[in-house]
Amino acid sequence: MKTAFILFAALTIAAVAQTPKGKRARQPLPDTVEMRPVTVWSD
Amino acid sequence: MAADLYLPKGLKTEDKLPAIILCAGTGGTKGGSQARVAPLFAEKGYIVLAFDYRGWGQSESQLKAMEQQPAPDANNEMTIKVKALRWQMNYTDQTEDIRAAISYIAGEPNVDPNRIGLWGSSYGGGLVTWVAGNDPRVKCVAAQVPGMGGARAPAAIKYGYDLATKQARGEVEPVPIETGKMTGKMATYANMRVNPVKNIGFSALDAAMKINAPALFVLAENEELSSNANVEAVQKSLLERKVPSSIHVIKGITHYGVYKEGFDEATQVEMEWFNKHLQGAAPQTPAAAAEK
Repeated sequence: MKTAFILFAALTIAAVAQTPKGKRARQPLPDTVEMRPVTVWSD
Repeated sequence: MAADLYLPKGLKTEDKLPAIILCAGTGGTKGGSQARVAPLFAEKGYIVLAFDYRGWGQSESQLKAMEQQPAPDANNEMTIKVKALRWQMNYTDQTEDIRAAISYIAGEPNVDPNRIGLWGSSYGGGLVTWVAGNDPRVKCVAAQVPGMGGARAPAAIKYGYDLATKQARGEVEPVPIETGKMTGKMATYANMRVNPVKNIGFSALDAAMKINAPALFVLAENEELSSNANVEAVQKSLLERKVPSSIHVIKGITHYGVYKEGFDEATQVEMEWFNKHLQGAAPQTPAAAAEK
C-alpha cells in the first residue's frame, strides 16, 4: 500500500538534517563529567 | 535514536545514581539547550540522557513508501524507494521515544532505576507531563514553559477527525509534508511538520491527573505561546491529591527567555527540585562519596 508507513530495521536512512541550534559548537565539558554517544532503540 | 549519555567521572561498579532524561521542545535537539543543561546536572551527581526524537536531529527516520511494495523475499526484506519523514510533531511517537529513553536508562549499570526523573521544555514539557502520568517508572518531573495541549475547541476536534478521514481515504497527504507546515507564532519552525490527526488524543492536562511523582513547573511570567492557566490547573489537581508540586514563575521573561536570560534561574530551581526528590539529603557525586 502506497501510503503505508514502513519501519525497516535493516533499511535505514542516515539522518542528516539538523536545526541551526544543533550546529552550534558545544561548550567543553567540565573536568568531572564525561559524555558517551549511545543509541536508544524506539519503535 | 541518537543520544548522548553524560556521567560523572570516576564512578565505581557499585555506584547507583539517580538519572535525568532531557526531552526537547519543538525542533530541539540534544546538541541545543540539552547540551547546556546535561553537564550541569551530571556535575551534581546525575546520569543524564539527552536524545533526539525519531526523525529529528541526528536520529534515524521513519520511512514512507514512494512506490508500490513488491512482495517481500524469504527474509521479509524488500528494496523500495522511500521518503524519510523528518521533524514530525507526533505526540504518540515522541512519548514512545521518551519511554524508550526511560527503558534505556533503567538498564544503565550505574543508574538506580527507582530514581529516574524527566526534564522537558516547551512542547517537551507537555510530553514529560503526559509520560509522568502514564509511566510509573518516572519518580520526579520538571517541566519548563510546558505546552499542555488539551481543552481543544469543538471546531478543532471536528477539523482533526475530518482530516483523519481524508488521510485514511488518501484524499489528502496521509503524512503532511507539503501541507503540514506550522503556522502563526510557530511558523518560524520552517522544518517542522504537524499532523493534527496524530495529536487529537494528546492532553497532558488530562494525563497530569494521574501523576504521582513530584512535579515542578517553571513558567515564564509573560508566556505568549502556551497557557500558564493550564499549568496552574494541573498543579491544583496534583496538590488536591497530595502530590508534591510547585510552580516557579520567572519574572519578566517570555517563552524563549527560559533559554536566555531565565536559563540560570530555571536550571537552578530544577536542580533543587531533583536534588530534593531524587537525591535525598545531598548529591551523591564520586567526590562527595570520597569525603565520607
